[in-house]
Amino acid sequence: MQIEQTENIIEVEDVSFVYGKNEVLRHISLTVPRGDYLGIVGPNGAGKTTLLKIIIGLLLPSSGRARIFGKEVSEFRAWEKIGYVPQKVTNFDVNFPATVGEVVLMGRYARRGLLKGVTAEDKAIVRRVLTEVGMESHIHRLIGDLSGGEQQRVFIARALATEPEIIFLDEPTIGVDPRAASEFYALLKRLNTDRGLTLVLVSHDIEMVVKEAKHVACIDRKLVCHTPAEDFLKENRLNSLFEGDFKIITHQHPH
Amino acid sequence: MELPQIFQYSFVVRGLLAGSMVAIIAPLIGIFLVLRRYSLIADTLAHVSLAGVAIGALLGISPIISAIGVTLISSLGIERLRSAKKIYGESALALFLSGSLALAVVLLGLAHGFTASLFNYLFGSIVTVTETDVYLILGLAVVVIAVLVAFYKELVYITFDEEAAHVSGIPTRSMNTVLMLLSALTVSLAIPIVGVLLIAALIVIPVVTALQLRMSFAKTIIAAEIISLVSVLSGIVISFYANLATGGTIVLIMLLIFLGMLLVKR
Repeated sequence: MQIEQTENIIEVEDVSFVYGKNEVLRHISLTVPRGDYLGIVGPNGAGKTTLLKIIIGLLLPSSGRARIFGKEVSEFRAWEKIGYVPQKVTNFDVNFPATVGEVVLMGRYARRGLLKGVTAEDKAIVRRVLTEVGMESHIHRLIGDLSGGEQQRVFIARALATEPEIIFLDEPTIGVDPRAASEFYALLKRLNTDRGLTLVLVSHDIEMVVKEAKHVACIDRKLVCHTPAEDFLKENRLNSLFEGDFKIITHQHPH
Repeated sequence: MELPQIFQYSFVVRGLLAGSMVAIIAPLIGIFLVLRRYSLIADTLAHVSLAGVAIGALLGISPIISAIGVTLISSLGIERLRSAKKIYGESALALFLSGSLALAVVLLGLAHGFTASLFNYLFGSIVTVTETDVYLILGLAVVVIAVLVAFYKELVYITFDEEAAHVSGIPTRSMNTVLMLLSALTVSLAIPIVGVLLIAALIVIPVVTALQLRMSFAKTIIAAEIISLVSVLSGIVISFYANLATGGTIVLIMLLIFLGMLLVKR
């Protein structure tokens, strides 16, 4: 079946999220078409990660709905279509006894399901994705012994091992030195353009996101803007974002 | 050929059999508990199991069976309290730990003449292991191992990264419940070997020692298994010949290995 280019993989409809008395997200609506590379930016505490967690079902919205591959997140079961790179470098246990190979193998579990062991095919895929991110020579090293940039490559390899159609990344370059970060973004761009993977990236690094992503969504509790990246600077959205000034939302899909 | 003196005592043979089983399953559970910062759960469940032993004594049924029942139910209660997040996780443990100890003391007070064997349950005594106990421990140990093997990859993923595991479709809540139930079973089975006060050591120390080696997950489990088996078996043999308390001897051997490892690794 030929899949239409403009199929929306993600549809967020009027999502709000209230935590205690704190309104973290207010009436957010946006869509992500297949093949997009969406950067979600905004100041600290703007609700970027909360929005991401609602989209992938780690949090339930207080109101509104999120659909992924056309299904309500609560009813979504095709998890093998999703890769997830959590905000990890800052908060994972560096003493955890797992090798790079073992961590990336975890990415295969969504494909295998409960009670099924891993196969030779899984191991071959682990090697392939590690080669793809340039980490194959580190397969037997402990994850905690790697640098921040290397760890992040391993986590993207784990996401790739699932053979997903979309990858979500939450602040992937925190704790990564600038050179490794720009190599990391080059890798993401390759995955998006060469492999056609849809990417959704949460980041506070607006400059980098505007340079790398196809679309930019600015969040400051509400959706301040959602525009093609090249329009972002032109329209000087940065000021509006940090003043919290509401602007008309432009909404375009790539062709 | 004559057997060495130690094997002529059937209680020692039973102790060695039950001890090996417990030595095998304790680190398998322990690695998940330690890495998830759940070490105290082992201690809490151990205290809970004492209340189970007391109930067994009152009702005149096998203390291992009553301990299993009470710890299984309590483990679900602890998990419920923790995940409801109405109170802090450690506070939930403190409630169960002191609450079950209080219950145990009251019940044991009611069961007169129980004081002598109380010491056995607190600190372990392989003399108390009956043949039925050995079969029970063997059978349940097989169940624990089978469930762990079945859900091994899911438990590893949840332990490493619970959110990512959830996003890959692993039922994290059910897996947490499975882990709690297996911990409860393991703790109950370990009572005759090291006693309720020392069970946590059996579950935690071999794993913590193996973690010092900084190896892969699979190799860390193997190392913990070796440390555990060596400690339990040598502890039983040494305590037999030197006339020492078995549970304490086992735990002291584990601690010696741990200290040795720290020195070597410096």
